[in-house]
Amino acid sequence: MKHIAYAALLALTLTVASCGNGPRKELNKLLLELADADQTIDGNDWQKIAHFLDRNKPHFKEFYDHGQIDVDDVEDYISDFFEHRRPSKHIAFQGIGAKQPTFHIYVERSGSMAPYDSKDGDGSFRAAIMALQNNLPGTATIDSVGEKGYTNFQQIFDQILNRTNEDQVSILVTDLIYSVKDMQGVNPQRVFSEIEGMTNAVFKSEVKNKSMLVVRMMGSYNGPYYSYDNSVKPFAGRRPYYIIIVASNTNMVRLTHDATLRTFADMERMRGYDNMCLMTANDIYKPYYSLLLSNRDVRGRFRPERGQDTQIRSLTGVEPDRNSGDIQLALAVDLSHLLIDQRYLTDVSNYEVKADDDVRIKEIRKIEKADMTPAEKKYLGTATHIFVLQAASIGHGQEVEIKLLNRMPQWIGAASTDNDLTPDANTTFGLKYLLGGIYDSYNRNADDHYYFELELVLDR
Amino acid sequence: MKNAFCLGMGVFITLVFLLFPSWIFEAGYYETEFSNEMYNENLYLVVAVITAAVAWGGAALFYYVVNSVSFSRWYHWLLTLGVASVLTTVACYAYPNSVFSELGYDFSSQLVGFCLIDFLAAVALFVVASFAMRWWSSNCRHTPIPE
Repeated sequence: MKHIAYAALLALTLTVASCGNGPRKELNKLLLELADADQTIDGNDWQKIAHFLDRNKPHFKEFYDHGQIDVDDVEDYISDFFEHRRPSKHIAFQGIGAKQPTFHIYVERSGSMAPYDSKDGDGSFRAAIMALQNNLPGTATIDSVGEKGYTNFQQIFDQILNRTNEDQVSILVTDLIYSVKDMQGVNPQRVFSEIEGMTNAVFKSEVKNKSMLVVRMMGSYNGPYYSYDNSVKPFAGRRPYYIIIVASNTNMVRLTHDATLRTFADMERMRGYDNMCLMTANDIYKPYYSLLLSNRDVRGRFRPERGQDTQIRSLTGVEPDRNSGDIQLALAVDLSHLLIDQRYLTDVSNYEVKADDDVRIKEIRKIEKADMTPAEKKYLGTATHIFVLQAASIGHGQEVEIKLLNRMPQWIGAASTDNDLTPDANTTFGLKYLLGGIYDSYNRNADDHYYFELELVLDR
Repeated sequence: MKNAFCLGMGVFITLVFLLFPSWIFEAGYYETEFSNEMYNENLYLVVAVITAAVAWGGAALFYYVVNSVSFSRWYHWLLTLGVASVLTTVACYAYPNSVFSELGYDFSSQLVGFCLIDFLAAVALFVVASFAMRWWSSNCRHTPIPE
């Protein structure tokens, strides 16, 4: 009888424990609404959570320390909650508990910048700067940097990289033409060596913590052009200039994930946008991805591994198609909210696929209406593109890793010239040495040489 | 000694059932979305607790509360088993269904399949509970099979 009483007591305890605690259930429901789909808790989400906890303070005493929310405890709870659900999810926290970053816009004031803002031009340069300022939340100050006669990039980059603190985002508008104090009769090779010295001196270990986005813009240019030997030629037409954004790795991700900053971060929509390159020493992005169970690109037979919900990342029983003799899988990936040019993102050669069998990316295409069938919608989630993966066969159970490599984009080499005695509309003097040097510094200090990684499991 | 062993085994089997409910139920019935939500809402445990509690409670009622000579034949025991198992099945349909309704999900057809497995589990646990506790009953220890 004693044992029966104990068993009944245990049953009662467990039932009461699992049925009670309404506020906790409400909190869990809120977390699912905020982070189940995008797997991210950003500043806005955090405000909602903090507000909820504040309204239900007596029920969540463990999240408060001296009357203040203990951010780490709440983060741990949220991480645990999602990790112990099916399917298990890793939640990214962006700008949680931290203040909104402050923004500083710096405009280079060397003589060669004035013609971008000439009264004879189309005003695109000024419009771009105004757009930068207006699209930022709060007020952003605009300061001039550098000297009129020459550009001391060592000082400028030191300012925006090493003296930008964690809560700051620095934005530099510049033509990126390297010049030194006395350029008369200078050999271009000397300038390139100086650039190398400068990048080595400025871009050191700090690059591990900060990311740098280089946006190439095209704007009208009417006025004198100063070549590397200080000779002056008049130039009228369009010339490239650059917007450089430096922020902590966390804030760089926050730029595109925080709803209040998205307009600012939508660089590709800016008037005069040409291309961009993100330099970072970490795999800062974690995009949404899921295999689709049926799609016009799918060939072969397979079934999802048990325990997966709306994100299918593990397949079993993968067999080639009887007609074509190969396997094709459709992987839906969210390529939005990344500060990476669409051309780079959709270029198959920028991806590395690691698998025991010969799995490769055949094509990356945008999601079309035909892909959004009612049955597949739940797997598409926030995805914007479909990666068509191809393999002859899957011999045994294996992990497939797909990485977007962090490479210096080809446009940097194409947009660089070693001789600007005759200025043109496309090239910038010594650009590949300057950006190449900065890229090499990031590469040397990189923990991961890729922007993001997608992990799949395929079994026969 | 044999009686204590039977009680120990009964408790052990029930604990295994309570500790690994998702494994046991999913071995019998699995449908990705439904099973994931059962797991996420902790319903496997709730269902397991209801099933175990009703099985042990029903058996205890038969052997120690009713404990009547006039209600000690095998078919009386079978009637109790049937009532307990049906009660469990109804409860294990109603509670998850109310939770899912609250969340805006409609898993009613999947719940029917799941409840069939739960019914079998309820029958099995009632048998386990009966053989674990019957030995100390003054009037029903020979039910359903004589000692």
